[in-house]
Amino acid sequence: MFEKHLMVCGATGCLASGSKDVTEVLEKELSDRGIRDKFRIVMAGCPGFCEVGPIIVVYPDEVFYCRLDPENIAEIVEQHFVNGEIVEKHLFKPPKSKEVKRFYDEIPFYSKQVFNVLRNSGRVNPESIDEYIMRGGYRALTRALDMKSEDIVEEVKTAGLRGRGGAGFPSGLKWKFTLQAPGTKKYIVCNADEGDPGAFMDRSILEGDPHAIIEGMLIAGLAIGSDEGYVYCRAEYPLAIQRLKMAIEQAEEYGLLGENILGSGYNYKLNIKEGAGAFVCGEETALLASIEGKRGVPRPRPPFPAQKGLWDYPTCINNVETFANVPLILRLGAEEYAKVGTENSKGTKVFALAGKVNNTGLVEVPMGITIKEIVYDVGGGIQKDRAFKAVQIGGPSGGCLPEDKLDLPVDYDSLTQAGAIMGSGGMIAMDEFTCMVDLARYFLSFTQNESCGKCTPCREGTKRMLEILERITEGEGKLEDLDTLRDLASSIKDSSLCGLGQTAPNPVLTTLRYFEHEYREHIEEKYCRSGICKELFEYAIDPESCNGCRACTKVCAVDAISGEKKEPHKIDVELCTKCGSCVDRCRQDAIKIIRVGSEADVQG
Amino acid sequence: MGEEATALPEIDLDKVDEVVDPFLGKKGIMIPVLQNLQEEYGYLPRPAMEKAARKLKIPVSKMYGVATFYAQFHLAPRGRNIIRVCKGTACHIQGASKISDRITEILGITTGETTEDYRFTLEEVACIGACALAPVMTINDNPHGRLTPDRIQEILDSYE
Amino acid sequence: MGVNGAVFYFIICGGETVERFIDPCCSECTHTQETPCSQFVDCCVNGPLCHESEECKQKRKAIMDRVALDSKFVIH
Repeated sequence: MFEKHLMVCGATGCLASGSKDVTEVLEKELSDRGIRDKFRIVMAGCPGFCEVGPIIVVYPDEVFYCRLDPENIAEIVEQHFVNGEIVEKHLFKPPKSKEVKRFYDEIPFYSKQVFNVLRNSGRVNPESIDEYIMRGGYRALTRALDMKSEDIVEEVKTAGLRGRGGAGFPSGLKWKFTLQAPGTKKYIVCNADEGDPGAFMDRSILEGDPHAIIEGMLIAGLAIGSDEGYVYCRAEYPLAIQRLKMAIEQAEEYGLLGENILGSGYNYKLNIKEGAGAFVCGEETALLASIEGKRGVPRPRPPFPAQKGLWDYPTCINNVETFANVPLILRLGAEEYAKVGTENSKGTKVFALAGKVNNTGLVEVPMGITIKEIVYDVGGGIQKDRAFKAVQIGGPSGGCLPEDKLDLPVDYDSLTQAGAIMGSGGMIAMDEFTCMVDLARYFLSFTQNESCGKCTPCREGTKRMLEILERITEGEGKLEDLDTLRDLASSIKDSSLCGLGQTAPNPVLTTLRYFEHEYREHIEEKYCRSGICKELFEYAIDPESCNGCRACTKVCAVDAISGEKKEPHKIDVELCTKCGSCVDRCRQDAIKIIRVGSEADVQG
Repeated sequence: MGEEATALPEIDLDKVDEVVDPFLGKKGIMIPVLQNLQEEYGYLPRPAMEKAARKLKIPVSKMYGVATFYAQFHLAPRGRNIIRVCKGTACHIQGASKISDRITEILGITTGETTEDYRFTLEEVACIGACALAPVMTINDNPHGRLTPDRIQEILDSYE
Repeated sequence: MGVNGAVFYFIICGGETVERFIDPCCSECTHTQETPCSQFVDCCVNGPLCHESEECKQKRKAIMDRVALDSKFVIH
């Protein structure tokens, strides 16, 4: 028996911050002391708190070590694992607090989260089917095998499950349509083409708990009468694909996938298709075209995939997170499942929380929680105590919500009403140094670039909108541009062929709705208050705050900053490339964003 | 450069058979075939595509249409080291464009281009999902996070 | 990354007892891919269900005890 279980986060985020090296050193330190056998080391799924990676959670103690470096390991092994004393300095310490948090459940980041979809992530070895079964896995499948298709559909409908991929269409209804559609063959497709910039929920689920997706798809197969499914996954997610392949092999060996599953006569074949890098393939009809090996361009609906999908057979397409919810519904029962959430949005939602919050990472919150709770309680507030400006929800299809929407509950309908969408779950917090015009330009340049070109409103319309936004950010905007943007946006929304085009104007529309003053400032005053649009601001050093520490002069690549030690410095605006390195380095906050040509007022 | 030493090796078209044969007679296989061809050659050489299309009895134009549609496929040879600057939202607001500007300054190539000595290819990706480490880039799948423009030179120097 | 589990099981068990749920606890267990048992999943955590055997029960329990992080880990 093992004395301790060491769960090292082996998800992409922590791998990027060095968890592989940490594991190697851990192996070595334990072996050197001859105690390797007493410890189980698992490269586990994501415990969510990417900000402080690499992470090791020690069980059964539930001690949470974070921000680890290979050099810290010897100390932890010696002091904690040999001598039984927790190493305080590697525990989590909330910002501005002296009190360390020893245990997993004491950390504020986790306190408002509810783990449904991420219930196993970070707690099991994602490469072990046994552990999935121990955690209640495949019990829902066993139950579903004894149920009639109609009853499974009814259960999912009663649970109030809505699609987690974007628009929030009721999954039970989608299943019902596919069940009722006539067809000799039917397909289940899992959309794992997570292309939204700033979103990595689906990847974490696939990496951390791949069997949940398989079980969800098997149940969906029973519900609609399908015997074959595809997981369409981005090729950029190699670890997710590898884990899923392994899980499929195990499930087949265990008789939970393949022919005559658990003696029921139900057959199911699961295939993986790797996407090839096209954002539009997240749109369901484009995705189907891509599985068929064609260019991933969408087609008009109807007919909906539920009637005519993959190779013209009725096809039910759901997103990764949606499928991950299904086993839970069938295991707990619809009523128990529906206890979490609001009246019209049941269950939880996983968000990739990033941007300028203190705690970035993967979070799972109950529907109905306010944005404020996510940003301030889970996210720990804005970095460096700066002012909150906006939160962007839903990626390129979503919108930006300002401070006075902080109390908005996070559910499908409230978000849509406010101009954003639940989307797949990217949530980016922004502070005063984020320019809302530039952000709108950024999202539009993304969708413009990813527009497949099939329909004119999206292909040409987004191009024209982008040109206008570029003009405004370069200081060449005109006031009538704002009306043109609104006109173009509404035509593109109304007349585009697929969801990509129909939602592409959302980031522009919401920033216009809530931050029109910033657009006007760019146009009328030629000023970008956030210091992002390079033509529209200058940097100057406030002589009152500058203590002449010279930190800024060292990072300036073009030697634009001059001044004697301990005397206020000056920036030569002619030389300055506005890279912002000095602003990040200055501890006095002495480097100010000013209007072009006004440096005399500040630097004297 | 253009010297003999950096000239690309001849294309061995026999490999096309190895790649394509397992797929013959199956449906929906164009993308996997192209993915495997690219795995083999590092990019999609025109003669290899032509041969594959002939074997699969697909018009070359159709195959070319698919190859140019997806960002993953490359019709020209790429550098020994692939730099991918993440342009996801989190990276964007934490200053990703300052990172790519600095790379362009140092290497003289912009997105999608390869240095003449085939040492580097510069690409952008929508999101690599390491948002906590923004801004991020990967070089040959090695992630480099929490970047600042002044660290770029040193990082590039470590790749031959 | 995934080798840990398998290697551990081997070291710890030395082949004396069952290593995975799919391995039959004794000759009474007939579940395989080809001859599936409808009770298999429930049997993994609560089994054996088709016959009484303390020894077989312990074999199942040993698999779970090896990896269970705490008392709430296994869902019966």
